[in-house]
Amino acid sequence: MVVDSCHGRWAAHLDELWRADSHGVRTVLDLCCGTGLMAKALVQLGYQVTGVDGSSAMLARARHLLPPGTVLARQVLPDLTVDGPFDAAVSTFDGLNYLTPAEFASTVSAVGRRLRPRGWLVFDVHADAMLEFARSHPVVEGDAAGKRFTIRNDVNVRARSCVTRIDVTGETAADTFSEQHRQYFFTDPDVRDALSAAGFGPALVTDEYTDQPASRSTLRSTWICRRGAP
Amino acid sequence: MGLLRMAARTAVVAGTATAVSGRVARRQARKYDDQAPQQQEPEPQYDDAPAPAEGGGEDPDMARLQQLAQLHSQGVLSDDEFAAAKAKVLGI
Repeated sequence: MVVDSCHGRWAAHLDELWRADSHGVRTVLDLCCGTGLMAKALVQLGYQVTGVDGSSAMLARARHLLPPGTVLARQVLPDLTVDGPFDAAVSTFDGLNYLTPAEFASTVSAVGRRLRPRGWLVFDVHADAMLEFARSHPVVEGDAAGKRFTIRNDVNVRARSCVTRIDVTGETAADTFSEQHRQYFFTDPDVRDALSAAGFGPALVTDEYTDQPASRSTLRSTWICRRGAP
Repeated sequence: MGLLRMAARTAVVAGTATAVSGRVARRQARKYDDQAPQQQEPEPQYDDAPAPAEGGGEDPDMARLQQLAQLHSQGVLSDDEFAAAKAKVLGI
């Protein structure tokens, strides 16, 4: 069984951030929660999590992973109908990169309306170094968890988008699958403008859930901001 | 299957390739480069970027204070929140 331990580490980082909030953070909206690994890590730290995702199949897996009290809803962003207000919203593992820049802006705006004043929005997105990585590595092959994988990246530099095809070959048919993803790479001004238009205050941008400021080698950047002015 | 899919998403996918751990992806990238020396594309030069700190030997209180100072200077924490959080770390 391969479950990356990053979720626990990231949740601990979020917990540390939120401990500085004078009102305290208890309720968290997990956008693009997928199979619920991040939600589970947050629940284990005592947060009350609402998870939303566009995939029913992933939500079904999340349902098995999470305690019965956890609200899960199928929502195709930027349409968001869950009720707030939440103390914080998160989106991890570049889930938001599946949105176009316009959809991203609408999503951020919808999320802002569901956060309490000074509520937190923390998310990660691909940085320019990731776009460059995908562009300069049209094929990446290797082995992971006893399976052979091939990733083909087809980058459209002008559109700042990438179609990625993944082929995984295992010993049995059930271990063998292919899937295709299309992601968009936002510019920093894209993100800043969207946050500002949605009423968020200034953001701190770090290197993937660490205290290191984002640099040119940052592959995925973490954006930390709050609704409204200090 | 779902777990494998998750593993693939986390460990391997383009965006994600590098994600779970930059280490995995960089290793794969290097391997790929080793196998394809005819590739003409130069690697981007990111050598001036500081390596992430390991943090192992770092004083956790100091790291926490630096984190708080960073959040405060960017305007994520208010003056009051910064003062309160700092006092908590220092035990005062």
